[in-house]
Amino acid sequence: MDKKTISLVVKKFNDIYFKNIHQIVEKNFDFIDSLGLPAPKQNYLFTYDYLTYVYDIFVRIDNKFVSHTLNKLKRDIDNLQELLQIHEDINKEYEEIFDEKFLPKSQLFTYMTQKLEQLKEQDNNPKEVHTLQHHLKELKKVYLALFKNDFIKENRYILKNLKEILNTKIYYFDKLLWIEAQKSYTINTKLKKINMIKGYESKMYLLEILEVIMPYSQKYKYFEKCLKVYK
Amino acid sequence: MKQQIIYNEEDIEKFLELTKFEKESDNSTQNFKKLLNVQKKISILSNIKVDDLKQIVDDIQFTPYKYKDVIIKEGSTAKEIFFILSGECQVFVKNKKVGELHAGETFGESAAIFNTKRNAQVVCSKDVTVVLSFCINHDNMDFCAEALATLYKNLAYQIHIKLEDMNKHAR
Repeated sequence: MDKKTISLVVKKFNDIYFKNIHQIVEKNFDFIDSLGLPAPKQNYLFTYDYLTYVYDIFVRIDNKFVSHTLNKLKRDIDNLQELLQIHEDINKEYEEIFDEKFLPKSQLFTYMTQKLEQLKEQDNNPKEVHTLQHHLKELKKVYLALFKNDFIKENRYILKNLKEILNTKIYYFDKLLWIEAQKSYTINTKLKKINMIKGYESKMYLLEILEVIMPYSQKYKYFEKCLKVYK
Repeated sequence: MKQQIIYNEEDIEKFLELTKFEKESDNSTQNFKKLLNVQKKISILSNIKVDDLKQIVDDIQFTPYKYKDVIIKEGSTAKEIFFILSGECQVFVKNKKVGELHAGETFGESAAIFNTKRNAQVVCSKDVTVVLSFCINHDNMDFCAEALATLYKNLAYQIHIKLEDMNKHAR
């Protein structure tokens, strides 16, 4: 089997393996485009833990402040984060996927493996067993090299798209979070007490947090990095 | 795999509001930057820190007017303060011309700040006159007291100069 044919087999496998995620990515881009949500210039992916931290604080102050939309958007982002994690792990686990999912679907490989098993069972031609084992090993090497290349390339493309979608959704989650918080009397009162009246937004709140949090702690360092995103 | 979130009409409306808000805030950021470029020339805004200025100035607009366009209507109650970036205007009280305004001059500040009716009509007297207008956000009075004090001091000084000018002409 030549490389071109193997590549086609890998492509066919990728098409099926990534079918669902491609649909999810496509639907998300359609959603973003149809609403005309412009993609933010900064990378907000990093700030999601901070936003969840703020969200949890607000829920503790006023558990009714969360609208259906904000709630849905948060669940949506959480789901997408989970998908992102799955696809980040895929890059590390490609050999397992190759062994467990790709190889059993390759007709040639399955045929040769079965043949080898039969020969082993017959146990009367060790030389042929050895040759077939060698061929199988070589074939696996060629398959793996091509699989790794195409499969990881495809996965990277998905990761890039997922990050883009998440970045946009996190950015709008941030905006919506503050708009909803502003509507809550209890949250408003609390924020006024910490001088947040200068502006209801992540940057101002981060500055306030950094004033009260233990300097040089892990959290402090993280919030400091978040602040750079908002500058 | 978890089920995909479905957004309904109410959600879509909220997102659309957000994008509208985004576009507006993008515009106002741009306009604020333009205002900063000319802040030194606007005497009532001199010596006010950038952060404070952001809080007390609202609704910044850059508008080109054509010859004979009315910028301020006598007796109206609009709250904008105007600054002429380029061009010229004429001032009328009860249809009688009482003065001229040139690039670099501010007008409309008294009525805007003291919330009174406009006591004169201002009309564009050049082919194109570009005017910067803005409002003062009094809601932020509590935490921008220093900036507002500076603003009122600048305004008092400007009124003083206008009075002196009027006295000179009366003598």
